[in-house]
Amino acid sequence: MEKFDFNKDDKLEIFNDFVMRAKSVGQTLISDVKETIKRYEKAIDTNSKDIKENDNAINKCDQEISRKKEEIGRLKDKIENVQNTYKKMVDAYSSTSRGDTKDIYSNIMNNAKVSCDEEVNKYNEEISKLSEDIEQIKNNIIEFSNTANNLNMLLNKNSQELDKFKKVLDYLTDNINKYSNSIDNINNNITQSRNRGRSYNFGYYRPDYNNNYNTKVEPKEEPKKEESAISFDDSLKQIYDLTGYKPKEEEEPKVIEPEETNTNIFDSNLEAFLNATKDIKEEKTDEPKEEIKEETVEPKIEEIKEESKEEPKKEDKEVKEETPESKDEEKTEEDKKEEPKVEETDEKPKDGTLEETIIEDSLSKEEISEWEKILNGADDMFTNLKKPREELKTKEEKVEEVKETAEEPTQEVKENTAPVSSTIIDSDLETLNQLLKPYGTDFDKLKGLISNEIEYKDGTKKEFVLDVKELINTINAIDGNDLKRMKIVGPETTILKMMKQTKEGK
Amino acid sequence: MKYLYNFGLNDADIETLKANVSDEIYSDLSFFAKLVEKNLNYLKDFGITNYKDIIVKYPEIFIRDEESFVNIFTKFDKDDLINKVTKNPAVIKKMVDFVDNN
Repeated sequence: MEKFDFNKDDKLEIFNDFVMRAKSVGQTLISDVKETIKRYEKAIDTNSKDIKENDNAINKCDQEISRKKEEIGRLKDKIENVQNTYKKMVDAYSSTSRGDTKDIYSNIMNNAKVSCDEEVNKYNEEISKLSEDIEQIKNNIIEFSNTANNLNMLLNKNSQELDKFKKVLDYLTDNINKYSNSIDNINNNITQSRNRGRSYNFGYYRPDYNNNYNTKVEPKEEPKKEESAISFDDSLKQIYDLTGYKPKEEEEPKVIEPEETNTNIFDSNLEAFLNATKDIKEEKTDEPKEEIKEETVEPKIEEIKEESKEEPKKEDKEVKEETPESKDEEKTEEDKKEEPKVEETDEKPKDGTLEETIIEDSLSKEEISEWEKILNGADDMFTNLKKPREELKTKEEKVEEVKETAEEPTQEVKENTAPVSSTIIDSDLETLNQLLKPYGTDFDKLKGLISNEIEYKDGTKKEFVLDVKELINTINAIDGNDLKRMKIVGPETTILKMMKQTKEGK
Repeated sequence: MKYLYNFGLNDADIETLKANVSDEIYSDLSFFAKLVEKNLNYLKDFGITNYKDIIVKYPEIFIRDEESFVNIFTKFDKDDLINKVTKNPAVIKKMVDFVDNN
């Protein structure tokens, strides 16, 4: 992680900048909101104006319609008048006209009728025009009312948006007020701190203003520790001076030292182990050393005896002093018991050194064989290690031996029905059984289907040994034709026949 | 081939068998002795009485897995099969050929 160091003023300025930026952002937001509010207010005004205009238009239309209707009424009245006058004329001329005057009046009446009809038609045309106008005005009214409805809806929306933005404006103005208050506080704090030259805290921002402005992961904690340690020591000295107490400084390292030596003793590597056993001769007080004693009892007892007889060392004396008498008695009893063992070990042709005996006793046979190469100079050791070598023969060597015995079977083997099973190696058998598993059989089943010899027509007989490895090879050699045959006669017969044919060299 | 004597075959039967089959089948019969024993026992237990004739004339049908051998007989009506095989052992050979080819 990167480490950022700031001094007071930088950090403060960063914070101040942040607050100022926040304030400016807030102010721009407020101005934007105010503008949108204005736009919405304007839109609402225009909407309301449009609505009013619409209402006026509708009213005018209504007035026009009523006026037109009045006109139509008047025209209808005129038509009635014309028709009435015509009727009156007809009545008057019909009652009075007689003889020659009748023709004259009839012409007048016809002309009157024509003029009356013309006037009526004329009025009717006017009425129809007026009625058309009325219809048109009515359509206009419908349109105006629709636009009025739309305008009303828009007005509602705008008013809602206006409310929202007003709320936003209120929120922003409140926050800006808070910011401005905090900035004022910060500024006050800055001025105060600069005047005083001290650390400062403000509001919700409380950084740990110690000597350095470091992040939490800081390697610079050490100097702090040093400081604290010094101060602690100083304070301790003061306390000691006051109380007159003198601490024993020698005791502390003593506590640590034995632990360190012990850790050396229990090191896992062989040298340390041998060194540890050497240490046992010198120091016999620690419990873990007793454990080691158990492992290396035989040679140690000899040496201890010899040492105690010949050159009794101070350390041995110490050991005797430390250990209780009962333990000594037990040890002597153990020594008595273990004496024959020591003799047995003496029989073995070993070098007789402590290290080598420890090696032989503590390490496994395989490890010995490795060590044998290293310590090959000792012929006696080599002769001793021959036995384990024979025991550690590999399985492959055993298999070869088995093969040899199988190739030259004894008479007893020939009489047995199953000469194979006794010499088969488990691992190969497991492998074979794994291979035979998909075919639904195993080695024992196969073995149970065949005899140990094959008799031919000419009377010759041939020994048949079901060899595991050959069987594995046979299974690995199974091809498509064999699988087809398996489908007919079954896998066991097929595999065994393959084996037979292989043995026959077919 | 001594095991076949246990099923009532005599030297003459063995000689006939020898004459009927190829060297390979003959050696197979000796090699798969225990398998052939099992299959013969099954045939015997199934109820076919003339199993001697069958082994002498058609020994190759016994050189197959026990399961495969049993399957041949499960595909036909038992009584009908016994009747027909008893009358004519060649029926079993035809049966085996039929099962193998289908």
